[in-house]
Amino acid sequence: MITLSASSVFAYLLFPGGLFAILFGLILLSVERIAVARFQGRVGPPIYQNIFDILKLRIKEVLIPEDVTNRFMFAIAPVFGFVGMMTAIFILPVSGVYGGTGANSDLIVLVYLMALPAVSHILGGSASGSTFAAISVSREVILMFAYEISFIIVLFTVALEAGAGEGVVFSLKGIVDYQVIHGSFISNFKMIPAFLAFVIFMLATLEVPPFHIAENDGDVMKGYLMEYSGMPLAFFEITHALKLIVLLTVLQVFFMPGIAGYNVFFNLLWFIGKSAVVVIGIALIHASMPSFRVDQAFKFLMTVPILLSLMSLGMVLFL
Amino acid sequence: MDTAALGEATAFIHGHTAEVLHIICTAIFIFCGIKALFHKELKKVLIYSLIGLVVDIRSLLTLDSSLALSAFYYHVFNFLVIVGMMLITARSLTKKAGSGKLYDMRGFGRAVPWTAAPLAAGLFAMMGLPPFSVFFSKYLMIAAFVDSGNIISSIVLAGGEVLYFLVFIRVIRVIFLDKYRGEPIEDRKPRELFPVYIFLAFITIGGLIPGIAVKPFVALADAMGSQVTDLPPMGLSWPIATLFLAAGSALVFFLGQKSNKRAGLLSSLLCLLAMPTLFFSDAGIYGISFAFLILFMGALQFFYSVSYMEHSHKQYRFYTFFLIMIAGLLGVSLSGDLLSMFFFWEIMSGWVMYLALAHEGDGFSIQEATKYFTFNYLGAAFLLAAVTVVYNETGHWNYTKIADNFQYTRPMAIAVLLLTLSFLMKAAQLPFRIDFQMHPKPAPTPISGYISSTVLKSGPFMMVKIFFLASGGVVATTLFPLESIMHVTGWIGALTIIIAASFAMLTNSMKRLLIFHTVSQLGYVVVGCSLMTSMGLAGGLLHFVNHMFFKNLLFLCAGAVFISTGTDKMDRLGGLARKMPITFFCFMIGVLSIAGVPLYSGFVSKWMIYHGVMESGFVGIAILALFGSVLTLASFIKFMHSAYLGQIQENVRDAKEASWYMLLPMSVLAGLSVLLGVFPGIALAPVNRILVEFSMQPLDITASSITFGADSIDMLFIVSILFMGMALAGLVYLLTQTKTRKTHVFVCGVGDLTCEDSHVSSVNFYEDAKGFIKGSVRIIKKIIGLKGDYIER
Repeated sequence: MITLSASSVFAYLLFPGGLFAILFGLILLSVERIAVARFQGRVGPPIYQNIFDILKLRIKEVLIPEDVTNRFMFAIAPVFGFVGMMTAIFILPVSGVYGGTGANSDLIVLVYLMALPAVSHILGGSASGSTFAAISVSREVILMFAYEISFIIVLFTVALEAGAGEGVVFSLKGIVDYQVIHGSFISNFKMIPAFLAFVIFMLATLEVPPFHIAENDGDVMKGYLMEYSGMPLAFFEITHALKLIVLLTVLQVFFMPGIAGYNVFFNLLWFIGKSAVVVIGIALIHASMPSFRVDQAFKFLMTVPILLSLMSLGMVLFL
Repeated sequence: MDTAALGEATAFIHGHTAEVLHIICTAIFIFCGIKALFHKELKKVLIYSLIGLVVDIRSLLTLDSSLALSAFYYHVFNFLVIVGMMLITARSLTKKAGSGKLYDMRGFGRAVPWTAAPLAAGLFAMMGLPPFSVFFSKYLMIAAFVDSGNIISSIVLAGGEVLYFLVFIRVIRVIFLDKYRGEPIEDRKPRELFPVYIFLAFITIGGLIPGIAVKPFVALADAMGSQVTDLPPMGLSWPIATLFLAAGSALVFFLGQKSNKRAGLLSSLLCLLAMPTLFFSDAGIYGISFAFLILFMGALQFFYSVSYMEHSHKQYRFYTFFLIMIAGLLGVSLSGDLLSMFFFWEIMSGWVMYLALAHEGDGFSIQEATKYFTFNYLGAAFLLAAVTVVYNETGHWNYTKIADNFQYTRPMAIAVLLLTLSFLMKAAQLPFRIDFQMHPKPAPTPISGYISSTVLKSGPFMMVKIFFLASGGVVATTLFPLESIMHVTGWIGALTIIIAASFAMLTNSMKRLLIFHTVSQLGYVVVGCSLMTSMGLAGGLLHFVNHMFFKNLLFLCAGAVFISTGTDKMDRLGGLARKMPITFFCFMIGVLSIAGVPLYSGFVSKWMIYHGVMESGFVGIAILALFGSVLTLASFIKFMHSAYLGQIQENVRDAKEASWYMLLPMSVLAGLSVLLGVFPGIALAPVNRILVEFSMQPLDITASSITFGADSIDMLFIVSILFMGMALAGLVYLLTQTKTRKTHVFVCGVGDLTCEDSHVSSVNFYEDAKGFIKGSVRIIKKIIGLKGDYIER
């Protein structure tokens, strides 16, 4: 049963997925850079900087190392994450603007799709044959291992809370609808710890300080990205921008899907505004924190967010 | 003294006499067992064990029923025949060795196979394994106990024989499995061996037609005038496919001696030819679909073995045992009654499997195979007691009749608990030590892969069947805690997923990593099946099928690497993807499937299992199961990076791509893994019919989509979106065709780095998290009693 109508192709390629998400993500990345710069008393890049970076990479020469272990894997790895993120945005609902894809907007599908960028880093870095990449791959896996636990617990907490004591809601649309009627979860005291855990998860996934570890230029020199250049590198950058949008959307689906009325345009502005505020918040943390060492980060992620999310889960189950 | 008091006193003394007798007999039993375990002379070992085992069954005489008495006579008679046969064989071996010491006969089984074979058969028969007559006399014995209400003594009796099992297995190891290091000696002439083989034929025929063989002893017991009890029917149902493969194994044994290739291809062909016979089976869609998969996997395995076993020795023997094992497994899946199921279960996990696993004949593989065999024997002891209780309570062997006459009583609850436990043990799940239940690493890879992917599935397969039988009528009364059994089983599965996967994170051996993951993935199957809801069971069964394909694929890849590099240690590998690209891609498909990435199989089944678990409201199990797939991905990334990617290491320098005998099965399995990832409906159609057979509501499926209640997923939709993304990326790649240049990996100007220096090996891969994982593993080891560095080796 393929139900790829014209409207879903539009949603996939242009809005809210595809082009819109890529441009929006790239601009938000620049916004984050600007905000960090302002917090540190610098001017920062112009707001279109990240878009220009991509355009520049388009015409750059592609360098392929002779000692790449597997050339095919090296070339195809960036696509994994890109594809996963494009699909994730496509199935995620934007409250008041876009309803997702109905049946297939499923939490479990989302978990697996959101792991794909990390998988693509790992495959690409590992296939490149570089030692720095190997170290960063191992760090990435260690961190992923730690932050996925809290993400999974948060996810089940949200699904249970949206089920309101009568089973679970796995449908993303269902979660949004529940909150639009019953009030956002962020205003629910039971869900505050889960929200904090999710924010920590976001920081760790986006690899901003204090979790700037796997691709830290300071010690592993961009790690898995080290041997990449030209268009493959651009794909990694685009995937990063898409990942930011996916995380922001998931945050809003889980905790603050409130709508600004029934006008699609205002709802979109409301979505953009909420996203920008969150990004500036991330920038504040980015600017004020040093980075963990990987073992410290691992210990932190294995304790704090997991305890926070378990606290929420306990309250949802037993209160 | 008045008569009443006298009567009381007599009863008192009488009761205590029985107790004293009991203690003395137990002491003799243990004494003889220990004596036999350490005695140096073969003859004395045999005699001690005969005395011990006969003394052990004297308690049958206290039961006073014709069933007990006939069991006693039959059992003693069998023992006498077998020990007689073994003593004659021991005498001829003593003559050849020039001494009666066990260790002077080391390896004689290899040097004079025809002379020594009756000894091996006798020893296996004494263990109570089919197809020898002791299997049935032992069963009758347990049945007599259960009949008189002593379930506990029957379990103790069956379990106590593990001591003697160790005695026999020691003799087998020394005489038959150790290497022969003497002058070549000649077998005895057929004419001289004839009488011994008459004995052997006698006990084998007794094992194949038990109903007739037991008649004289029943008559004898009746003549003794004890209280008459009906004998349980002991007819076996032989599925055609089983008979076909059993006959085929003889063919392979005789025709395959000349060449390995011929033996392997013949075995593979036999598996394919046995498939049409399944149409004539009346076992129901559940059993038949499992049997079909058994044969299919068997055919692939033998085809692969043609190349893998090339440098081994006496391959025809390996193929023969392997085929008989498959025949046993087919019997388990196709048999319509519980007794035949147990008979074939013992064939599948009994001596045939042991000999096939220990085929390589080095110390390590013999040790590990023995460990596994011992554990299987213990599991079968539980199973025997439970099966007997089920017959005793329902009065039928046939599954449908059992379901109709199911009694919700306490003994039945114990039986279901025991059955569940022994099926969980077969699937190497938790309450017992994982490392003992895991099948051995050093066995030949084709059989390792087969056991992992197919044979261990017999555990969940039978578990579902038993749950179905038990849940036919009223459930969840206080007498019959089926719900609790199922819930605890689910938790066992979930914990096993996590623990086995964390062990896999630490191990450095390719095959051990895969075996740990077998245990972990079977946890998913157990979780899904333990729910017994439509979604849960369908998810569990789909994972059952998916796991068969991708786990076997991973094993075959590991075997190909082992053949071309000669090592199993991951830290000695690196950069294999360059030397063996096809193997690498098959391996990657296996990894993506086992981790559950969309587009590959494993995703859909896990999706269904999570939905099923949450539908039943078990949040804890769902979290553990979902986290398990992160652990799975993490440990396979270590495998992928340290073995296949990174820099080329010493061992890999001369590695060659596997032969096409190996690549063909691998590609078939890889193709199936992708196919089932996109069109799970292919496997779900039979699963749906199984749900109907189990009178559950079937799912609403098409080739690629699944809908049940509010949950639905359409894989083709997801896959087409994914492909759209790929096409988009490909288009961008094509449109921006820029100049490419060959360079070298950037190493910050360090000139003298060797490949070894710049490779992150598996031992160091998770260094930063190792402290944490090791700490948790240490705690787990404390709790479940693991010792030593078994995992890390």
